[in-house]
Amino acid sequence: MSIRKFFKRVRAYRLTMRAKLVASLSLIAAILLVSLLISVMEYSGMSDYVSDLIADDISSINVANRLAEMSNTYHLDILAVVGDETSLELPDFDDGYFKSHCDSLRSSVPSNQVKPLADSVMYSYSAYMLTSLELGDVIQSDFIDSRSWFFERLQPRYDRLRTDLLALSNAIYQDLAKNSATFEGGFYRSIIPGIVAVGVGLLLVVMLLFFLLAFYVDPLYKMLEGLDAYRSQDKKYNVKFDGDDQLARLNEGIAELANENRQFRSRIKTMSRK
Amino acid sequence: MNWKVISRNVGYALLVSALFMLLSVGVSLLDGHDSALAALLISFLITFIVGIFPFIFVREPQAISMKEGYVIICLSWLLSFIFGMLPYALWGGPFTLQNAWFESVSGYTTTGATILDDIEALPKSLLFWRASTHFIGGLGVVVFLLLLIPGSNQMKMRLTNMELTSLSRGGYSTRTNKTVYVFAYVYLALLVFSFLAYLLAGMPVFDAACHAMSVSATGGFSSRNLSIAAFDSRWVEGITMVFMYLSSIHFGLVYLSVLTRSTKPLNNPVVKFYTVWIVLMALVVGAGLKGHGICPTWGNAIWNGFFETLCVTSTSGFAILDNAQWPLWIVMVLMFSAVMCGSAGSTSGGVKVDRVILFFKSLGRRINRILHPSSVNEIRMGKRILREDEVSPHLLYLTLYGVLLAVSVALSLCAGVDHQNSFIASVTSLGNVGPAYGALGTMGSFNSVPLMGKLVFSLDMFLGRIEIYPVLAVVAMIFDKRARG
Repeated sequence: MSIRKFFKRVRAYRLTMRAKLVASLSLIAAILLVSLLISVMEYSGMSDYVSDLIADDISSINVANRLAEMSNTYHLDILAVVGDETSLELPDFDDGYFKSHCDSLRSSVPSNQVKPLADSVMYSYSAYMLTSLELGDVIQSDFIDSRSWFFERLQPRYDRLRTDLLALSNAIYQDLAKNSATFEGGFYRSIIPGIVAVGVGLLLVVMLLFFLLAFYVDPLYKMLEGLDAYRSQDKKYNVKFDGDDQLARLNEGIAELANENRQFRSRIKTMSRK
Repeated sequence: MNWKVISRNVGYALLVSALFMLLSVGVSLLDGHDSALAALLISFLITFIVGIFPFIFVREPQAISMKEGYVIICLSWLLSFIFGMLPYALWGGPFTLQNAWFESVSGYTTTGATILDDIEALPKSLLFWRASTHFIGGLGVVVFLLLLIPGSNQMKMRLTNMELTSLSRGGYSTRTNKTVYVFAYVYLALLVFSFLAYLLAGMPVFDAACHAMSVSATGGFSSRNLSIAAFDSRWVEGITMVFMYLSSIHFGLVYLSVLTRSTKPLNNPVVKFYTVWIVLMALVVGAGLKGHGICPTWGNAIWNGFFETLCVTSTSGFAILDNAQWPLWIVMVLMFSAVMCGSAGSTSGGVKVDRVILFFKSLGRRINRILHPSSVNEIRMGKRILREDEVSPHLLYLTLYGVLLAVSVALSLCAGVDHQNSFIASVTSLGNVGPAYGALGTMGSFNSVPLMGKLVFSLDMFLGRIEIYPVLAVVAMIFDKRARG
């Protein structure tokens, strides 16, 4: 079958009232289904993405704070030892914990800015630890003033470590802020398809309402008016409207019956006159 | 107003867009399910469903009145813009709602201004959709509709008369309802030949397809960040120039030239004026480029002068140079071309050469009347003497164009666009040229323009594309109860 014939057949095909209503409502249902699927897909995608993002950033911030706290406690312990002068014991520090968590920060935060900062923390931490290990020798030595050692040698390294930790923490906060903005943007994006589909659904509903009024309700009113005029004023039933479905055939049928009835009555009148 | 017949015809226009969305889905599948597949598929479904919906109830084509014709034209364009932005908005990336709207309007109106800073970051299917909007818009949404619909000749004639201005219809030597087919044949021939020429020049198939759709529609969207400069080929540049020129002269004359196998039909006052104008402009621009040291040699400067002049005059908006590096006076000289643009009956925008010639002839006649009050003064276009009522609508159009330009400049200034670009971008948007100057120039983007500015420029593009009158007619109908019927 040629394309021309196919289109000719399609054009010649007439939908029934039922088919028209089923087709139009099915299209609206299809649009609503699309909107539902889009909403579910976007929501599930967004919720996974956001929960991972937030969990990563918050745990990174916690780790950075914990590292800062650990180094602070250790530094204060060293200060206590320096101030006491009788104690020769080095304070404890969980070196493995610090290093592993600093490494985890490096890998868990995807921002390129965080990685060099985590490296800086590691370097300043190494420098600080190396200097802090001099404590035993400093206390035992008669030539080195332990306080001078603390404030002039160890404190600058500690300040550097704190600065680096603070910079790392700020970078993670910035990353969180950026991710939150991305989340907001992503949320806005995720609702667009749903809004579009619902908007189109509404448009179709309005169009359906217009077509129902234009093709079914208005013709019915016209037919009723025609019938009223026919019954009360004995006018000819002459209602016409666009359409090629059952309603049009019903109208033709009514017109035919009404005209037959009219002819019938005029014949009866003529006969009764005779 | 018969909304049934309006909805049916607008439905056809949407089905055209849906068809090209489906083709873009095909490109996405060929490209290995790129990231725009879902966006294009959903957009296709939505556009197809809305387009097909009226056909359930309105089966028979019916006659339309002038008023309904204008509403069909305006609604077809507007809804094409709205549904055409769906693939962008659903894909995301740099496309916020306002950016998607701008890109869609720019595509359909064949303006070629973009909000994209990195075009090559887009998946191929979306680049194809961008080029498709040019292709649909170049032929005109309504002309596409006329090619497809099985309506009566009377209806087609009425829509043709309204979509194509009287200037565009002249020169076809065919019946009005056949004009649309001639227009389509020439347009498709330009598309096919430009595609083949690009392939022969060594352009990859995908780029050749996108650029062919863009150049035949005098659009300007490229699939590359550096536009035509990305190919670094004199052949590609030369082919682009030839097709920009052919796409911006009256398609009826091109058709007749091919049909009669002679260049006689092109020996027309409008074509002559247009060609001389391009040559003069190219020489001025070339001299400017050489004088300011932008081009090292005269040959290079004249070549670039021709390319850039044709880009602006044909309203294509491609580029091989970054005009942000140019002195402002060269851009301002090109703005004369951006207002005038190509011939009527082509895909170019602007006020059209024909109207400019009419303006000068009317001016000459007025001066002649002042000097010689008793002389007989006629306006001739070729061999034809034009009546007063044939001339006055075009002169009124020029006035309207000027008023709109002034309003657009004022609004874009209020929107926060800089002084230079509020004028230059208004001219290039209203003339459907595309790129403006500096950050909004040939290698820049409109991304930085504030929301209000984007809305003003997109309105300019729309009004420029459909030549103002249909929109004014519909606006008048909204406020005039009698006209609404």
